Amino acid sequence: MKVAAIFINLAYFLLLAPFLEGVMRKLTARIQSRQGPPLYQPYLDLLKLLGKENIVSSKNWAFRLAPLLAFSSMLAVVLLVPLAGAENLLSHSSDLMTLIYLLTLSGFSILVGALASGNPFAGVGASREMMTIIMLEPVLAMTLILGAVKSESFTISSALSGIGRNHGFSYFLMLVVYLLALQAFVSRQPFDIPEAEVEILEGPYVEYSGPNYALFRYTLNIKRMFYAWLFVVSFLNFVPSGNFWLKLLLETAGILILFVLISVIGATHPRFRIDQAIKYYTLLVVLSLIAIGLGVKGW
Amino acid sequence: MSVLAGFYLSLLSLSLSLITALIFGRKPEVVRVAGTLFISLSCIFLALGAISAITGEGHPAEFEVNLGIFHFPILIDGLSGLFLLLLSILGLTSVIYSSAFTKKNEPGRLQKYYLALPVFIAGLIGLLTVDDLGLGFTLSWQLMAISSYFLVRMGRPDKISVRPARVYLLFMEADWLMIISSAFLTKNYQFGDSLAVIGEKLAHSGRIEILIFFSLLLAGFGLKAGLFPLGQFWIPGAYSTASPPVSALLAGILEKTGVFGLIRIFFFVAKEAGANFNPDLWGKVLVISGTLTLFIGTVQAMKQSDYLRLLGYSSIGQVGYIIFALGSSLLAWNSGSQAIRHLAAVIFLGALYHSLNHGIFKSLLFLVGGSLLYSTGTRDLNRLGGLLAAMPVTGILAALSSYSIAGMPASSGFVSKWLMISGNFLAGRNSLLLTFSGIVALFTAAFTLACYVKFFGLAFTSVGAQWKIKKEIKEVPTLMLIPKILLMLICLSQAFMPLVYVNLLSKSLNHSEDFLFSGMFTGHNLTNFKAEVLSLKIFDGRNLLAATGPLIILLIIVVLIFLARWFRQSAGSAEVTVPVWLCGYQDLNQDNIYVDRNMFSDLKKIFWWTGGNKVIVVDDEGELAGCNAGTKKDE
Repeated sequence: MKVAAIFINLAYFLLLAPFLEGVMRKLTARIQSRQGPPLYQPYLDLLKLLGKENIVSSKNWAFRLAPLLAFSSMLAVVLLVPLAGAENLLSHSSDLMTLIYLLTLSGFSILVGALASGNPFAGVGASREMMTIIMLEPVLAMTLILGAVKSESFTISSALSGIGRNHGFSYFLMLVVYLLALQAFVSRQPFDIPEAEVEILEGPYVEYSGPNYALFRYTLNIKRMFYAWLFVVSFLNFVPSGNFWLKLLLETAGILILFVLISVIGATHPRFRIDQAIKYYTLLVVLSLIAIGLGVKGW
Repeated sequence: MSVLAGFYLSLLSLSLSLITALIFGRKPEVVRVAGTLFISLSCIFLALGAISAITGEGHPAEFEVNLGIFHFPILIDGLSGLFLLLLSILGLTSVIYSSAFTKKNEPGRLQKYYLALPVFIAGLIGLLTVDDLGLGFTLSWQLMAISSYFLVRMGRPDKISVRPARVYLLFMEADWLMIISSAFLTKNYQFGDSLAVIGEKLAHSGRIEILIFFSLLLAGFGLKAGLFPLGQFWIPGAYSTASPPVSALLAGILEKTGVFGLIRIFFFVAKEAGANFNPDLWGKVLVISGTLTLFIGTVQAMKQSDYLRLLGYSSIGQVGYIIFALGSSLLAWNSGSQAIRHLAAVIFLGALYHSLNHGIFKSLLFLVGGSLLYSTGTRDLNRLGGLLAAMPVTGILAALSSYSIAGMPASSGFVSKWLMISGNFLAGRNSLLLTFSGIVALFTAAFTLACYVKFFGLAFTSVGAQWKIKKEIKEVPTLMLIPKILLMLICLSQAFMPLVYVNLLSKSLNHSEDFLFSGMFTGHNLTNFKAEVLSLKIFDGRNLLAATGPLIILLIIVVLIFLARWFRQSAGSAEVTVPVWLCGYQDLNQDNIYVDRNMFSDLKKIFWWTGGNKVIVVDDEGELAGCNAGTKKDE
C-alpha cells in the first residue's frame, strides 16, 4: 500500500490538474458572458503543445534544463504529501523543510530558464517572480510551521493535521491569511504579475514554446491544485473518515469549491502593480507572524 | 602522523617558503613555484596533524612554547583540529589557484605576495591553536592582521586599495585590543593565563566584570566573524579589494576563526565559569544578534552589483546563521529537559556543519569570482552575461556552488540549514524568540536564493558580455580549474554523505575537553537520540534523516527529470533555434537587455532600511559605475 500510494499521488495530481484549469477557464468565460472552451480543453492543449516544434532562443543547458527541473520538483512535492491522510513510502524521508524548499526549487527553475533565454521581458518576469517568491514563501512556510508548533512535530502529515487541531485564534487568523494569499499562490488575477501576458508577454515563459512550454503549463496546473489541496487538508479537516477513497472524494470536492472561488475572484479583479502587491504581501507576512505568535502561546 | 609533528612540519615548510621568497626575490618563477610547493606541503602536513587531533590519537596536545622570556600555552584538541583541517584544505586550493592567478603580476608584487601568504597562514594556525588571551594570542593575531593587511593592499591598484586596507587594519587592531583587555577583568588575572585558568578565575569574579568580559569577547570575535553591524564596516571593502584567492581564505577561514573564538568562549570558558555564566542571557543575545546579522547581511548582498562585494555581504549573512544556531543551542541546553538537550546538540552540530560548508562553498564562489575577473576584467554584473558558452566548466561550478549556498534540497547547504533550523523550531516551540528567529532564518533563505540567482543568472546565462566586454573571453587555465573542482567534490560529499561528516564532527567534539555539551556526542548517546527524540522525528534510528534524505530526494528528482524528459520527447518534436523575439520590431542588442541594477528594484525599495543601498562598482581601469538602489525607477 505504501508503494502504491506513491503512484496514487502521482496519478491524482497529474490527471486532475488540467481538468481544474478547464473548470477555471469555463467559469471565467461564463462570468464574462462567453461560451468558453470545453472542460477537457487543457488536455488537448497539452497534447497540441507536445507536437509543436521546440523553439529555443538560447543554446545553453540552463535553458533546456529549467522546464525539466520545474516540472520534476513540483511532482516531487506532490509525491511527498499524504494524500487523504495516507502516508506513503517517501513521506518518511522528508519533512516540512524539504517540502518548502522543493516548492522554492520549482519557482527557482522558472527563474533560471527565464534569465537563460536572454529576453528582457523574461528578465522583468524573473525579477517579479523572485520578489513574489521572497514575499509569499514565508506565508506558506508559516502556515505549515503553525501546524508544526501545534503538533510539536516536523513531519509533513502531523504538521498538516496539526493546524486544525484546535480552532483557536491562531487557526482563524491563519485561515484568513491563507485565503487572502491563495490568489497569489496560484498566480491568478489580481496577482498574475510575473506573467502579466498583456504587459510583459507571459514574462518568464516568453521564449518557451512547444513541449518546453507544455512542461511549464503542466507545472503551473499542478502547483495550483497543490495549493488548493493544502488548504483543504490543513484547514478543513474536521470530517474524520477512515475510508481512504471517501476521504479522497471529500478532498476533491473541497478543491473544486476552492477553484470556483479562485475563478470568480480572478475573473472580476484587475491586476495589481508589483509594488502594490509587495505591500499587500508584507501585510500578509505580518499577519501570519501574529498567527504564529498566538500559536506558540497556545491560543 | 602525530599532532605535534604535523604542527611543526607545517610551520617549518611555511618558513621555508618565506625564506625562498626573501632570497630569490629577483626570480619570480622560482618564488612562485617554490612558494606554491612549500605552502602546499605545509597544508598537507597540517591536514595530517589535524586529522589525528580529530580522531584523538593520544589525548589533546597541550604544551607550552618557550622562546626565551616568552612562553605561551598551546592546545590542539578536536575542535581546533576541525578548523585546522578546513584551513589546510582552503590553503591548499587557494595557493594552487594563486600560482596561476598571479602569473600576470610584476616581480616585486609577486615577491610581496609570497612573503605575506605564508605568514598569514601561520597566523591563522596560531589563532586556532594558541590557548591564551595574552602573548601567544597577540603574536598570532598580529602575524595574521599585518600580513593580511598587505594582502588586501596588494589586491588592487593603489588608488583603490589604500582606503579599504587601512580600514581593515584599523578594525583588526581595535579588535585585538578589545580581546586582550577583556581578560584583565577576571580576578587575579596574570598575563598569559591559559583559557581554562581564565575560566576558573571567572568563577570567582564579580557579576559586572563577567558581563563586560563576555560582551567584549562577543564584540571582539563577533567583529572578526562579521557580526552586525561590526562586520559591515570592513568585510565588503576588504573582500572585494584583496585578490580573489586571498578573499577565499578571508571568507573561508579568517571569518571562521571568529566563530572558533566564540565557540571557545561560550562553550568552553563559560563551562569553567560555572554558575557565574548566564546561558539564558547570552543565548538570547547570540540568537538576536545572529538573526539580525543573517537577515541584514543577506538583504544587503541582494542589492550589490559588484559580484565580489555581493559575496562579501553574503558571507556576513551566512555567518549570521552560525551565530544564531550557537545561541539557539545554548538556549535549548538551558531549558533542562533531556529531549531538548539532545536537540541542543543537534543545533550545535548544525552550526559546526555550516561552518565547514560555508568555508568550502564560499571559497569556491570566490575562486569562481576570481575566474570571472581573470577572464573578463570586470567586476560589474551589469556588464556580464552569457558566459556559460565561453567558460563552461566555471559555469557548472558556479551553478552547483550557488545551488549549495542557497540551501536547495540535496545540497550541502540544505543539510546544515536543516539541522540548525529544524532543531531550532522543535527546541523552541514554546519560545516566541526562537520561533520568530527560525522564521526569519527560513525567510532569509529565499533572499540568499535571490542573490545567487542574480549572480549565476546574470553572469553565466542571460546575454550581454559579447557587447560590453572588449576582449575575447576564454576559460581559465587548468591550474585555476583544479582547485575549484577539488572544492566542488568536497562540497558534494558534504551534501550526500552527511553521516560521515556528522561522525567527524562528533569525534572532534568527543576529543575536546571541558566542552559544555561533553558526553552528548558519544556513540551511546547517538543511539539514545532515537529513543528520546523519535517523536520529534529528528533521527530515524542511528541515521540522521538529513543523512539519508538528500540522496533520496536527489533520486526522486532525477527519476522525475527522466520522466519529464520522456514527456517532452513523447511526440518527437524537433528543436529549432531562433533569435530572441522582441515583438518583431528589433533584434536583441546591448541597449535593450535586462541588466543587474533593475533586478528586484521594488524589493530593494521596501528594504531600504537594511542599509548597503549605495551600489559601488569600481573596475581597475578606474571606471566608476554607481547608482543608488531603491531610487532607480523600476524596469
